[in-house]
Amino acid sequence: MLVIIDYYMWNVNSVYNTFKKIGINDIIISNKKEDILNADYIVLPWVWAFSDWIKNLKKLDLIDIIKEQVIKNKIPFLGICLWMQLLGTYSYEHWKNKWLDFIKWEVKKIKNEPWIRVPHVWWNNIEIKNKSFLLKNIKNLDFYFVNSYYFDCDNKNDITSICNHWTNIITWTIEKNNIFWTQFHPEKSQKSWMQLLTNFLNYKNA
Amino acid sequence: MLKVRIIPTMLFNGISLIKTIKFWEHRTLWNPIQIARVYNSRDVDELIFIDITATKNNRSINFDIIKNISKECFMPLSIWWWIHSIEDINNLLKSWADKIVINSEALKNPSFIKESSKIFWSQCIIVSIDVKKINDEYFVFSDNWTINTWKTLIEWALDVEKLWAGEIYLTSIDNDWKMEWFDINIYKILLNKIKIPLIASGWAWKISDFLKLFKETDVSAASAASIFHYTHVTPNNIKELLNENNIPVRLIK
Repeated sequence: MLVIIDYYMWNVNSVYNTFKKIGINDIIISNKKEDILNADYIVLPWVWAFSDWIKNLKKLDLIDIIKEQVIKNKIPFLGICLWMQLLGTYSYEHWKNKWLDFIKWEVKKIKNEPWIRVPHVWWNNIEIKNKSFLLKNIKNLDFYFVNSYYFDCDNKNDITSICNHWTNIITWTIEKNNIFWTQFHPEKSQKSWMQLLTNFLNYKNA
Repeated sequence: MLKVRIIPTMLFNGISLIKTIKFWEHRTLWNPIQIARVYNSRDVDELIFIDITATKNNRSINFDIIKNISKECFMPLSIWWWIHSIEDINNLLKSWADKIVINSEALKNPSFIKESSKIFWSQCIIVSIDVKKINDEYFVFSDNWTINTWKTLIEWALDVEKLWAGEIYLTSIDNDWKMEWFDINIYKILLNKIKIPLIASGWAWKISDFLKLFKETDVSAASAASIFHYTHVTPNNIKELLNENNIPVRLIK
């Protein structure tokens, strides 16, 4: 059973829809502990918002159970990152390491170079940097991006794809054993996303 | 590499999709859900759905239609309806829309832009600006281009940016009436002043119009309807020409 964690944000339905499109029927949107405990796959559309999504997760008391499933029980986990333009109201330092510490990471802001318009609302291609399970057999590496910030992880070997269009090297996917993060808006990236999801679902069989 | 976007626009009259001959003359097309399915099968970059008579007819949002269209879209979908409250935006996003477009409400109540961006994030909020050239100056029009606000384009666009809009969707009225592409000049002028992405909107009839736009300006995207409804040109045809001229696009082979 695939569980998409619902913590009262908006985009869970489009992620659900995409899984259904590739033929996955054993799938639910849930925030119940018993569903997460029974999950074979966990998907978390990760959102940064003023409305404090992390408060929602804490209120639902889900952080420990997600960590147990992902770190202890090695359930395949896919985090989909959607970013907002914080515009200085909250420093990105505020969020540093306050969330699931599966991987050591920090948040960085995309530099507002003269030739780059922010928020970064674009189709952009990614480059595979290290061996990637998630990005196997994807013919078209264009994905839809919506962000002004990105996260970067300490262990560069965990970074499997990047975008180096800007003066910074921007991390786009991170993979560490059963843990997968994508920076882009995959459920809106059409066929590329469908192959990515299929790869994720094949992790257990690999 | 960042790719420019070609965005088909679906114009809705409350019952079906329409195509416009002159600005106020409409001909019925097809069911919007079927058209969304076709555009999705053609891997378009994005889709914009506009109910062009909602404000005039005080027609509230039909969330069922939005949901059914969204189910067909595995690319970003923007909705432009008669949006005038936070609750409208909330319900649209819950109906699986990715972005919303506001125009008159933003002009009547500019703080609505910031309020929306604070709650739903800037990238969800597109502010549409309609302009008309009067005596060498571009003025912003509201209420379906019937009222001159006497704000200049630059003045309003800078305000919109300060109020945390994610993108600006800019339409020039003059060229719409003449069914030609819009004045490249206004994009050049505006793009020197703002830092957020700009979507050029117009009624281009020729593929070469798009090439001229992207060669001469730094717009992030171009939106059009008539060229796709009256001719055999597809968004991919346009992108192929752009690609041949070294303009980065997303091409699906």
